[in-house]
Amino acid sequence: MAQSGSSCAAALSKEDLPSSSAVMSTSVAGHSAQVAFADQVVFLARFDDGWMVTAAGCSRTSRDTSAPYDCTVKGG
Amino acid sequence: MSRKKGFVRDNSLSIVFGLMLVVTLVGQSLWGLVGYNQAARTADLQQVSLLRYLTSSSFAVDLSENWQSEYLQFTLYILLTVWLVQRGSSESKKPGESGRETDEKQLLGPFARADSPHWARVGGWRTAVYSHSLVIVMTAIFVLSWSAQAVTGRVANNEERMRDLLDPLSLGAYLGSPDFWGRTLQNWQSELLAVGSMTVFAIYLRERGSPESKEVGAPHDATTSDD
Repeated sequence: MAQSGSSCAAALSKEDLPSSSAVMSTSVAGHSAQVAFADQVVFLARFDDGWMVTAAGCSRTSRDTSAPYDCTVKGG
Repeated sequence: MSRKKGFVRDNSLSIVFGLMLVVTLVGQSLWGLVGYNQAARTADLQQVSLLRYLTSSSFAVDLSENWQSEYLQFTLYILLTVWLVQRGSSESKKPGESGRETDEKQLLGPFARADSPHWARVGGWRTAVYSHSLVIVMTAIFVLSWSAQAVTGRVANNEERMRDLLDPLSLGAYLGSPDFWGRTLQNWQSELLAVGSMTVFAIYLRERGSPESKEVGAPHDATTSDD
């Protein structure tokens, strides 16, 4: 979001993120989690304050399962 | 005081190894925590406390992958030395002595002594089970720790995979993964190397005073065993 030069909330609203849809699956392992919706995948990480989204608007661009998801919004 | 001294002297081997185990476990915990938190900092994620790390799958898989290979090593070594021999090694029975041996040599049945263990004296299924109790227990610990490695390794691997924006693996998929077999085989090869090299080194090399070594002046082709 720092790359867009505006506040987080303003920048997020400009991103073409899919709106919420049905949850297809959830996976949790240690401090990492993944929630698969009908039209996107979201990755989360656990912090002292709770779970936070680290990547959203994720989709597969390759059939190679060793390639990471391509995400519209990524933390870090 | 002399009884206490006697206890320590008579059990010094297990006491010293037990203390070294505790020291190395503490060291592994601390260095493991440093490594885990370094990776978390690199990924801009939450660092964890020592207690949190000790209850994590990351620590558990590092522990269980080592333990399963140690108990596999012992299981194979104890079992295979029943039938396989290495001429000249202090780790082997003599050629010609392969097999389960006679009741007389094993102090069973009419040859059991008054101070033989109870299950060795009573006969029946209890003697049959006791006759294989060492391999039974070693194998059970191997199976349990290898299972623990599979379960905790999957969680630890999935934690990293999702951190890297990859899909997590099912248990079935993890059991066919490079992470599981890489961890398993790197441990197995080192254990088998240790046993194999000890078996061969013991033919030609000596350590005066150790029960793991032949007598310094014993010929190379003299084979000794632990009876």
